[in-house]
Amino acid sequence: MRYVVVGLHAAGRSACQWLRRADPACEIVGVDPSAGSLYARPLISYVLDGELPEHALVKDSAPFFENLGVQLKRAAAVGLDANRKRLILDSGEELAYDKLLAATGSAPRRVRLEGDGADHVCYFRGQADLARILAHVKSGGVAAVLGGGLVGFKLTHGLVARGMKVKLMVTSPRPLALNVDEYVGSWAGARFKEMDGVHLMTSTSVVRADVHGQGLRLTLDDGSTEDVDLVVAGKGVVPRFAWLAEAGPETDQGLLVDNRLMTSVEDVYAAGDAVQASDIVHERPLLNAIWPNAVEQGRVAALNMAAKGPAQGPAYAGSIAMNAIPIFGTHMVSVGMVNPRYTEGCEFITTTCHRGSYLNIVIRDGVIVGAVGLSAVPRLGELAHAVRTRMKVSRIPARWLKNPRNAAPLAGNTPWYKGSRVGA
Amino acid sequence: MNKDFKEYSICTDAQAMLKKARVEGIETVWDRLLEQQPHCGFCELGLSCRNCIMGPCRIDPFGSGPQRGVCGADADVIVARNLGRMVASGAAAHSDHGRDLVETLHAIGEGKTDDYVITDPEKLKRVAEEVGVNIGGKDDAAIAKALAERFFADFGCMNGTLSFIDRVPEKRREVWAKFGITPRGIDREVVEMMHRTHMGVDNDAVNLCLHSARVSLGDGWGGSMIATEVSDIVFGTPTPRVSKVNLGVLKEDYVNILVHGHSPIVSEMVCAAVQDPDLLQKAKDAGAAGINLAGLCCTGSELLMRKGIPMAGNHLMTELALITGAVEVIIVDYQCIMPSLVAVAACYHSKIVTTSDKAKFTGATHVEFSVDNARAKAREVVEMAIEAYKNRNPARVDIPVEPVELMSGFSNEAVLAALGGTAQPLIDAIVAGKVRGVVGIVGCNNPKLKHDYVTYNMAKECIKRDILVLVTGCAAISTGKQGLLMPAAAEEAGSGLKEVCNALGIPPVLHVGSCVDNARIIHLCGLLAKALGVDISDLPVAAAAPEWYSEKAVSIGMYAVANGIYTVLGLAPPILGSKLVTGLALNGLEDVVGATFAVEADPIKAAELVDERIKTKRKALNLTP
Amino acid sequence: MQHKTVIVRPELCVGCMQCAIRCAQAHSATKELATAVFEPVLAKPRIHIGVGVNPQGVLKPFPNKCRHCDPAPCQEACMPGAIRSDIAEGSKVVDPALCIGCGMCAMACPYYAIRYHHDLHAPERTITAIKCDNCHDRQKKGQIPACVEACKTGALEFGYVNEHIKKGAGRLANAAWSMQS
Repeated sequence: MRYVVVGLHAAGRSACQWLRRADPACEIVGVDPSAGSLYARPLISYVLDGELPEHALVKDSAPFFENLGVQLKRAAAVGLDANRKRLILDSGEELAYDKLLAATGSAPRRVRLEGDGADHVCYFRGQADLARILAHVKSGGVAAVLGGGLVGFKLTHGLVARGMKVKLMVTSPRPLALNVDEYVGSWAGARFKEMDGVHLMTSTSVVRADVHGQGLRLTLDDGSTEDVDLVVAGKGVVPRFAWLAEAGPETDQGLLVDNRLMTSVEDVYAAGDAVQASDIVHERPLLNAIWPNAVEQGRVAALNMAAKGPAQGPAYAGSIAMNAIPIFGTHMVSVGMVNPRYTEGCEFITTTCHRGSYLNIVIRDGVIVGAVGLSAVPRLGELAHAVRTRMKVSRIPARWLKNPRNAAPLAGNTPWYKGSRVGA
Repeated sequence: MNKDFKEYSICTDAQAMLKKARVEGIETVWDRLLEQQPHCGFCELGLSCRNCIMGPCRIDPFGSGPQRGVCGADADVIVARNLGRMVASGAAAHSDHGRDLVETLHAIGEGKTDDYVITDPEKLKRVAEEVGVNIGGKDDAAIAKALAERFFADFGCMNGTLSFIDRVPEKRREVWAKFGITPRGIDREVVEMMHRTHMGVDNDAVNLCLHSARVSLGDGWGGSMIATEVSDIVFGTPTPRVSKVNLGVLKEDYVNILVHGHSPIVSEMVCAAVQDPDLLQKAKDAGAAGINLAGLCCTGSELLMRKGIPMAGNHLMTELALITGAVEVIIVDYQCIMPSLVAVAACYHSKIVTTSDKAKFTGATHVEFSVDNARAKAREVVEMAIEAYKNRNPARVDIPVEPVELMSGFSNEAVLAALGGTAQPLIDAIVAGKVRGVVGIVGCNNPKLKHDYVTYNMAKECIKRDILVLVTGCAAISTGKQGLLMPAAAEEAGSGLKEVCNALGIPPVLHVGSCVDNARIIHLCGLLAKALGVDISDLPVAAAAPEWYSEKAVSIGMYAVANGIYTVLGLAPPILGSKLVTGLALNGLEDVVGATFAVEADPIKAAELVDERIKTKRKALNLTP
Repeated sequence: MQHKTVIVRPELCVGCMQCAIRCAQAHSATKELATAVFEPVLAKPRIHIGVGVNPQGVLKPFPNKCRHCDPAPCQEACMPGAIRSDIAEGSKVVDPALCIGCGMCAMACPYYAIRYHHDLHAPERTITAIKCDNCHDRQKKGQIPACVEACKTGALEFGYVNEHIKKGAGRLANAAWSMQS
């Protein structure tokens, strides 16, 4: 049995581990142009703000894959012949597979600007992006950050830590419009307004970028201009799956999959950012391009790929939006459905306790569908569990809400995490 | 559980009895310690508070949990309150014991007892005069009554001060006055501590600690000192005498009666009763060769000091004494009597007889002693022992060792007499560096430390360094069992101390009494300081409680330090949860009262600490180190 | 392969918090309570007493700690790979040298078992994820986990889950008073 894993990042690596665990004798081939390095992309923000030294970001991947017995192909996939079960690489080589996992992730969403400076806009996705930004970082200089989401936040923080003045330009009337509720969004906005070196510009878009001396001159939608040394955009991501388009998988924004994470193409599975899996809360395929989903999907896909005969691997329960970022000395966290655009008509339970923590639980039809909080990380884990298991709000003891700091956990007798216990 | 019994005690009698207990399936204090471990970490650090039922509360010493109790008290306040209550309890124990003696003295004065008399009328008059009781034209009874009344007033605060306050050197009293810790009344300070530690009263850790010092001083110069002096008046001032110690003092063919606890009031009557010819005859009729009386703990020390009654053992030996199978009755008064004795006695023919209405034990036989029936009650108990002897199972009797000799009876009067009437020869010896200093090694046993190991080895190390050792309570028995209380032990002392001991015919380790008799030590320090015109904190002296366990020991340690005497403890008191209180105890108090605590369980290192202190103090007095 | 683990029987817990204090002690630099509380960076407990409600509605203490799940959601959420399976077999152990304190593991943990503190093993970082490590250091020396050793009531036991099920002791590591089922 030969498994080919295309893309060796969060989902691909997780899949390799679980394929090996499930099928000790199988052949695994990993395909990735940057297969030689091992790192977690999201950590680039910790390098930017100096929390993590640059050298700690990337490690040699050889020992990791060697231990798993994964054969590495440092090449990019450019095509898929599903009938012959062949993967076509940019080297021209064809690679036969029995089962294939598409885990090619996503790319930053490009901003479309007028002007000759448009190509100078940086993004914040991987190691190369980080290097490009660091090359332009100038202590005392001015940077424009486009996008008020989590990436924009991390960028702002990192660039300020590097001594730059940051103009944070947000299209929405408040930052984090999509990620948190109004309270936390406003709280974060207020913190940014207090922060030295940050100029938060809401309801603002850039329409044009021109090269201006060493830097760029940005033209905003109100016609005004801003001269900056660096422009970085954090406007979300776009799944990468063009390489297998010829094989004709069903797609929407990303690859569509069944509940075993198989695409509409036989024996081709998908996991990670490239996938538009069903969202647990919204009950429809949505992009939830975050690390834990990718790793979990990698595992579930692998176990289904390795399932023999009529046996099936675990069903994928669905993806979920979930984020935690340490910011302003606390953790800002959200899970499930919290975007006010979707939570209209929902009920809310808001609970606060001393030391500035805040927790807002979103309830729809008596079921917990989301939660957002400040300084409430550990408890958000339980609420994420509640969201996943569609826990009824009536099952949260009043005590828990009254005493979020000390209450016993919500999780009960049922092991909720039903990944199969391979080898147990 | 399979620990070698040599790990438990250095005493062969203890090891043998532990083995017998194991064979016979009898639980001892060491077994229970293992079951209790690990102990409550919060309590160990003093961070739990049960003073009100908004709680109970605990402070997380690692900083992630609560840092304040429900009332808002932080670690410092909780630790200081808890320590204050420990001191209050310890001071209460000594002082209530003292009060019982004053009541006895009063009963003698009022003629309400035939059983008790004034045995040392000279001391009665001397003390009465000292504390300002007019003795002109009064007989002993009248003086006794007046003195008792004077002491009663000390318990409240009718005098506003303590009768013995003039025994404190002037400089020391100035220190107390400066920090507001001069004791005003024995009971008052204890009651005030209970008040202060009630929720919402004293919420300043330093202020609480200062009051702890005041409570303890009310014990040392009040309750304990009164207990000592009145005991001497009623039962006689001890003089040096030789006796025997360890479980070997029990006699296989005798009716063995042990007295246990702290007060001489009951035990002295028992001591008289066992010499009664009728009772001796009854014992013989029961098949015994006679009646053998021996002591345990401080009651034992009271009889040993005054009557030379042999000593069976200290705190950790009390259960083991029963395990010999040769004890008919243990007559107890109060303090340090393990409730387990009743259960151990029940494994044999032995009986536990309680004598005080404030110290009853479920399962024991209660015989209420009072001033008007003591002699009769004592006979009753001896008869009970003779009856019990008939039920003794000789097959289960094992008296594991031969007794060793010890010399006891070194009251301050006796010490001064040995010195020729004044303290001057001792001062000369100190000045000459023959006796480099004096250390009081006192306190209890604690199963957390190898029984008698720390106390004995520390005393041995101190005498090697020409430091004269004074011992009281359980520590006296620890050293006595190893032979240090005999003049021959001078051979183990440094050359200077050896010379002095040999010249006077005294041991290098002097037994000065029971644990209330630590008052004798501070009194002696006061005498030395006055003679030299210095403060007690200037003297080359120190104190140690190597194996302490009790709240009384906390009070004693506290008054030692409040008197300016550096004190080394073998185990840390439950204060480590507060950096403030710990810092105060280990360093800060030096600037307040001129002495601190130290914690050291290693006997040699503890002796080293004492030695360093003595060196420092000798240098300050321009003496050779 | 089965590994011995800490089995929690909340019905026996009296809420004394001994487990927590002894856990912190065991994870301190000096390992002695008397000195551990004076260390410059205080060790933190990895077991916590939560307030639960039993089915009768009575408040009950609930000893709460990491269950060392397999697969472990915290491990899947950990971007720098700081939650490792290769330090002690059968245990998910945080490697403080790798942890960046991002908070994702706690977001993924349904049990409130991961907390964030300044850690003496990574003093240069402001916060590090701190969770139960099954006392693997103590186990190597033949000792049982510190929390189990400290428990006076049998609410914490060290053994095999399977045997525990056989004993019919009812609740397992996953049990929680707070469920109103």
